[in-house]
Amino acid sequence: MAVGAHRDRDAFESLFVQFGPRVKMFLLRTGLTEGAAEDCMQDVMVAMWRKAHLYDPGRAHVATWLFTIARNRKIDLIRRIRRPEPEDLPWGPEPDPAQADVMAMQEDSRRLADAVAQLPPAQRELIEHAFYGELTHSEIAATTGLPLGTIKSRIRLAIDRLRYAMESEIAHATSRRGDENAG
Amino acid sequence: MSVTHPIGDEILLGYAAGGLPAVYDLLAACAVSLDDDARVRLGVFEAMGGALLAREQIAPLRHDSFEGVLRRIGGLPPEETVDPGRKVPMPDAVLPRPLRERLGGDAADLLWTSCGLGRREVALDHDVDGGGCLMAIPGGVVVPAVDEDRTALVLQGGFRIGADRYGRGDVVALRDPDHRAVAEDGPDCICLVVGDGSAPIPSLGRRLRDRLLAG
Repeated sequence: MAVGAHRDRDAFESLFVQFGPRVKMFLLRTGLTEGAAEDCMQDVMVAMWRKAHLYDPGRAHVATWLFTIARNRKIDLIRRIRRPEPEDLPWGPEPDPAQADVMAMQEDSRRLADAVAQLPPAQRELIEHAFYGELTHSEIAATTGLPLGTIKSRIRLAIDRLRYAMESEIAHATSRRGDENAG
Repeated sequence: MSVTHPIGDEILLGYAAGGLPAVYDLLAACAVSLDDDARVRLGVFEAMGGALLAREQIAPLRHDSFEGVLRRIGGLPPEETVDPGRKVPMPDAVLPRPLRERLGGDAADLLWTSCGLGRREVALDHDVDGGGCLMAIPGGVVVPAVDEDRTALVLQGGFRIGADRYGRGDVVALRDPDHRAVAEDGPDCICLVVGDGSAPIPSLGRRLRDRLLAG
């Protein structure tokens, strides 16, 4: 993403124009007031700018990344304590995602977004309930027939690569230590 | 990793959507830290959130919205690095990072309270929508029964419920009083137990009964 690599202000503004109003609508739907939603949306956009270098387009679509930032901000706003996040998988120098992976992730995510948009009302409602209400459902993937399988294998691939990179890193560090001890 | 009773989609989807009680968020973050398949499933649910956001309707923004964002950015130092401590792996830690951050250390650093039969616990701050604790149970001792539904994530050692064995990374609902969880021999079984009821866990009455029954 241009924002991450070069801190490009124009790229940032176009992302703001595209996503700011949508992030705000998402926040309104989850129950925030107009003022709180505007304030929280601005926070989300600031976080996007400041965290842009951490975004990995090979692992998630920009909409997904923004969704997670918005969700976390909203929860932090409501709770006093920071929302617990899973242990971060990548560490040390991260390999740049291959362009093919980035394209594939973007394409799969676009297909998923299209499919969600084209769902019959009842099924779309089921998903929206899970995301905008307090309800949770496990039947979503089974009942909606969304192309979640491709997204799943894409993410699986990205995580396997990270694991592999981590393990080689550890092996490398261990053998280096071994060499030092031997010498 | 050998998770045989993985965290369910229901909790993961709730975590992705952001609609869970805080203690369940903690349990989910810990379970995902220990289970790559759960990490994948969480990624799928978050992608679904992204898909909804991408096709979300447009809300009118305040007229000076973008300028407001620029002002906020201008007043902040650039965030070029994340806290390096967060990236250092601790492969030997018993507690996953979300729990270490919440409690301020790994299992050995904590102040455990003894609760009979060699069992120990560290209570988590109770909030309106739920509470939980970290439990350490010696081999052969039952996991204390509770009055409400509880969900446990095993972090060290293991326990058995009937013929089923639960080890590190496994998640199980503790709701059937007739099928009690019994810790395996070996190092104390450590698990995170959370519930959304209002009673502290485990209740004193139950503890007393456990002790009498076990005695």
